[in-house]
Amino acid sequence: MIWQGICIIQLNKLPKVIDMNEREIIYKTFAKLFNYPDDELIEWIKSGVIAEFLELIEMEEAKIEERNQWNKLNSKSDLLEVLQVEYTHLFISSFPTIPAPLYKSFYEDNEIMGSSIESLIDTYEKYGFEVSKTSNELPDNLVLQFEFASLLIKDNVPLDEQYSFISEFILSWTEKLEEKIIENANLDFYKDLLVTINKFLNNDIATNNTKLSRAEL
Amino acid sequence: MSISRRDFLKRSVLTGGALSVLSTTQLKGFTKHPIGWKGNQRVSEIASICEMCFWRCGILGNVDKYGKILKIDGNPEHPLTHGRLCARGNAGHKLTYDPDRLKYPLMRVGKRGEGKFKRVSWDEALDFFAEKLLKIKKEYGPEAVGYFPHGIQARFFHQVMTAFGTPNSVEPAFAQCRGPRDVGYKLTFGNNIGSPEPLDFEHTDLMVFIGSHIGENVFTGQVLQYAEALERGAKLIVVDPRFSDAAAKADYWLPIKPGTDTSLLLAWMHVLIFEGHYDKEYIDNNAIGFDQLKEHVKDFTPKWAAKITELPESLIIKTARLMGKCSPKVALHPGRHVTWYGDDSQRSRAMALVTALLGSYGRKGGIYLSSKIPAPKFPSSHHKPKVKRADGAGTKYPFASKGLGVTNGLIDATLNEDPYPIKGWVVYSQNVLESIPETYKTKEAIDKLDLMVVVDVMPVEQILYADLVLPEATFLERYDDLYTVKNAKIPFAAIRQPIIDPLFETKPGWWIAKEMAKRLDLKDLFPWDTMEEYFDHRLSGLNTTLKQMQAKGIAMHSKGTPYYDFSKPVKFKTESGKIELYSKKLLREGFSPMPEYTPIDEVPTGYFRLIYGRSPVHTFARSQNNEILNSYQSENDLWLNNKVAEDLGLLDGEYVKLENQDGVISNKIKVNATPGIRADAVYMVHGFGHNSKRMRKAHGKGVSDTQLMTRVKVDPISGGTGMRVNFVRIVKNGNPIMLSGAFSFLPNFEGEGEEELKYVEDPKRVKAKRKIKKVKKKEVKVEKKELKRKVIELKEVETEEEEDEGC
Repeated sequence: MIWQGICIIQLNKLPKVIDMNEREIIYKTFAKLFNYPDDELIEWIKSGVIAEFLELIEMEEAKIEERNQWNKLNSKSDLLEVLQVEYTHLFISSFPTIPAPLYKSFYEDNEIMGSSIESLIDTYEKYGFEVSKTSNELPDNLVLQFEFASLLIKDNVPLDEQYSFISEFILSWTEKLEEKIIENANLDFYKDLLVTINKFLNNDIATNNTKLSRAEL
Repeated sequence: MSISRRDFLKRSVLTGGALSVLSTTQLKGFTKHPIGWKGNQRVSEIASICEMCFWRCGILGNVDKYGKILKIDGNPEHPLTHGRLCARGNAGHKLTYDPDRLKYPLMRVGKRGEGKFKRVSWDEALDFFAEKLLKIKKEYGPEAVGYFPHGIQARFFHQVMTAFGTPNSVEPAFAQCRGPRDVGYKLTFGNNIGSPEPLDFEHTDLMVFIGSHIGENVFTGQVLQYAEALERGAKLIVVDPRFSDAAAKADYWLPIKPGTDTSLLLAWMHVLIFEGHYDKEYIDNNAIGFDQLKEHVKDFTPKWAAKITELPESLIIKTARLMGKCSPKVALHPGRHVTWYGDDSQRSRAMALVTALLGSYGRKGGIYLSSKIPAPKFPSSHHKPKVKRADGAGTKYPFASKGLGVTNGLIDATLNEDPYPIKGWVVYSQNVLESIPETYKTKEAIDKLDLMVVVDVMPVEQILYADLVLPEATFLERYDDLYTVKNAKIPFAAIRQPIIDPLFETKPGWWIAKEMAKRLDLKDLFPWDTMEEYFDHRLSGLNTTLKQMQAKGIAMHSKGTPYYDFSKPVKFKTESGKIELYSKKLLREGFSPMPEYTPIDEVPTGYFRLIYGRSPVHTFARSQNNEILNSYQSENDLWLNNKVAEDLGLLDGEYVKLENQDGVISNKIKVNATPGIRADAVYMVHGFGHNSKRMRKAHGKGVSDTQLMTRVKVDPISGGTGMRVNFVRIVKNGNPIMLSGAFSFLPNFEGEGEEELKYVEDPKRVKAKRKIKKVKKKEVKVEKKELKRKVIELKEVETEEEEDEGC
């Protein structure tokens, strides 16, 4: 394999080495985290797996500790319902408005299935993929985009193409999504999560740029 | 050495503990295709029928290579619309792609009205739904569940509710819309009118609209026929307190005092009978009760009606004579939304009697006959519930439809638990907080429920009160029941089929109904597995199959001429077999056998009668959030007589609020100062002023007429809610604006009954009035010119003798 690993570079921190396999899992996990909360997710939160994951993607230490304290106060079933209600409130249906739909087109075209979806579908198809007929989601749902990023990594698509997808189709709107979540969240869970993920995505891309620069030198 | 949690985590990460767990995540969002796959080509054009309003015109949905509906065209095969489509139909795909639409089943987790939900799976949702219904059935009986449906999509679930055992199904299409009309015509001719109204515009010489504002109220097929009739030279009489779009095209505009239409109709009958303009042969051969009617209308002279209606006597006479002259080719539109003043069945009867006197029913150029479509239904072992209805249809309101029911009757029953408790509501595609007046009563009734389930496409306000919200696929994503159109000269059946697959986790109504039937132990209710099977059976009577019909979307059913053949005796479907000018049925139930004019409450000084109508680019309260339609019309405005506006110091285009007689204050609304409305009424288009902020484009725009309707006058014959009995006054900067010296006769304002509300001449207003006068001078000149023809005509009517109308 050409790429043995990449570095997540943060100022004042030692670079953390993450290999391609880990990177694929990270993007898959992003997808999982933005899926509707289920028992599996709660199990992972309760057992500390998610805390470990957040550590890996450099969530602020204090935030992780907050999460742990908060988790202790909730039983599994309570935690599931709390997260489901928050997810519904933010992303599906709430009063007075749906604050933060998980669709790229909503932020870029001010509608769903707007024109920005066309280049996204073209990109899926370019790599031989189409949204599964069993999926109930629109092609530009954040969950599907994270999953697709993980598939590009899994398929060893050239790194610059991977980053091009992340930059053009994910980062182009997740910062707006982050603002909406920050404005409207009742809990910190999704807010902190997306802040951290956005940082990770930026770092991921910065790493690639650094690599490319070095290669050019 | 102690190890901190963070150090421990770091170590875990290095060993890959978390990642090895997370690597087991199963995601199935994509399908991988082999190398060389060129991608999808989903381009197609699919015939279906629209549901942006209730007329269900033929459409062709164009799907692009991304699987997205690109545009909607009219279906040229459709026998009524011939490929034309209105603005709403063209904007239909924006409903499908509305970001605010309901996407997943939702279960309430907060208090009613709080809007706190969690997404649940369809299995969880339907199990919960069935469990609650069965619990209510066990404790109170199946009749304790009320069903509020609307549209053909709700028909399958209607079967579920009937088989479940409740007789309580109610639709606003009756008690808030056309109920009194259907009652009035059925009592007279034995048939109700149905939809679309079978008016023979194609051959008519004269169209008569009483409150109907075709052009603003758009059914493409009817508008086309109406426009063609005008182009052909057919005459038009419009009776409306407002200079509507139709009034602008009329030969005679009768700006009638609201609520006095029955007196006009009685006077018309007087002229027709006593001047001998009625169709004597038709009446002699086909009607009973002519002598009683003649005696009844003897004193209802045009002079008498002129005083009541505030119309010139000569205009009443002239229009009656014109009708007589054009007889039988007179298409008197029976109206659609006719629940106005609580005497609406009698007014509709009067319209039916005028039609009868003109010999226009079942005749060319008048009202043609409908015919059944041979579309067999699947046999069912389930019988209609035998329990008495709770809404008063057939009892308290003896002539109300038992098929459509009385919405307000069921709300009253829920509220008062009389005649028995109603503990569950299933609201299917109906907006109970927008379509039924006296919203406060509806909310109180909801508070008494153990279960409220809403099936809908959009998150209208009522979902906040629902225990369970089920997201239905839009009309472009589903099959619905076969749509049969009996009221066409060549009757036909049309299919709604999916143009794309349902987005998100939305489901079609037939699927929801089938799944619920399984859970309610009604498995044999739907003895078919697929919609193909279902349609093939229903279409067998038309000698076609779904597959054959899918390309065109339409199957015609040819029949004979749609008029009566008077060479043979004609039997009407009334008790007597004749047209009943005098109704013994009404008399038996304690009502006047012939229509009478009942004076309505006068408008209190300083107030205006609130009247309302339709917009050509919106449907009810359903379409205001649609991106395209919202851009055409985002808010309604308030038609206010320009002279009144001037006297009140109001500028055209400025925003005011309204306060009704019970102190309910509206959102702000833009003043449309116009000479095209009488001084005693204000007018707005229905459907605006949405409270739900989830409707991000529609929220807070314009005013909801329904919310200002805190009073109704119920028609004792049909149960229809007369809604034009509400009054409003104008509020600006928090104060009511009234003319100098005006009194308020109504309580609830500032807590005092008849306290004088002094009009204080604000210096700013004095200045504004001066400015207005200048601006108005110019505007009125233009507007006056626009109305000149009408005014001249009215004057001429008063002075001239009868002239040839060319009919």
